[in-house]
Amino acid sequence: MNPAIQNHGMWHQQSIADFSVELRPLQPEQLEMLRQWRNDPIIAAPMLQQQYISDTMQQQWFLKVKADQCQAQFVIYYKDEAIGACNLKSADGQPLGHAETIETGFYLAHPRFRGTLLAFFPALALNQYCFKSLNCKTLLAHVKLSNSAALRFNEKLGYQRQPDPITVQTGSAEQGVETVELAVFKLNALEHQQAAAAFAPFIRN
Amino acid sequence: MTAANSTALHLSNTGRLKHAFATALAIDVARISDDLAYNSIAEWDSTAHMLLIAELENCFNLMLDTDDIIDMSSVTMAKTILTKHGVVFEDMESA
Repeated sequence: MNPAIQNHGMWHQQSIADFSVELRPLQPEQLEMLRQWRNDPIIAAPMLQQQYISDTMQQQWFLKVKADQCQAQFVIYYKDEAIGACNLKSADGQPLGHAETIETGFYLAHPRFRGTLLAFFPALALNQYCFKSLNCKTLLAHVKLSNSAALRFNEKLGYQRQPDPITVQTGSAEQGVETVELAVFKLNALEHQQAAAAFAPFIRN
Repeated sequence: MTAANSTALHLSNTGRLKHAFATALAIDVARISDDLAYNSIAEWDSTAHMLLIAELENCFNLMLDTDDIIDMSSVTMAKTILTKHGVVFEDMESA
């Protein structure tokens, strides 16, 4: 492992424990696990970036993000088992804690939990953290129009789908550029609280 | 269905299970088969899943834990999980 990475983790070191899951800051020794997950075709399919991630690319990415206070990277744990990853990114250029708008992202890697009710729990924990601890006003999410499951997922979390989708280009000159339409979702604190209340009776143990 | 059959349906645990599913998913009880699975039909989405959990807990007077809720991915799995909680299903007895 790159010595520049080995001894230094993410700038944020606080874990988030809520909704029966724990979100722990990404550590350098977890980079390979995340790279394997992210290169899994099932996990990569709904992502905007589809390209294969090499070990070098993963290390370069981590060097770039680990000190960037406009974003946070977490590994999702359920009963002490790593089951996925999630992240926060400031959408207004301000560092987290000052950003009014934050974009969230996550995926579950463990096949037992993908598509189950548990999938909602890390998203709820992350959103709660943003509103309560980071004092943000709005959460943003972008979802491929073709990903009907993710569209419904965000609606269940209280996100409001905005009327106009956006169009982005992904890929590279080498691998080909693709134009993708994304639905835009926004969530405020009240909408989150109402959605979270629906799940509250099912947060057990 | 005759009155006698509907009474039997409501007395057996299998019948009670099917009725709970039908109520939570808002579908006809005739559509409840062992291989019916979460997200396999539009009606069994996450909202219906939470309603289902509440319905089963109320019907069988038990409380499911998080693993049970996660693993309840089909009617068959529901029987397996409820059996773990002491519920006896007539069609599983003979298996």
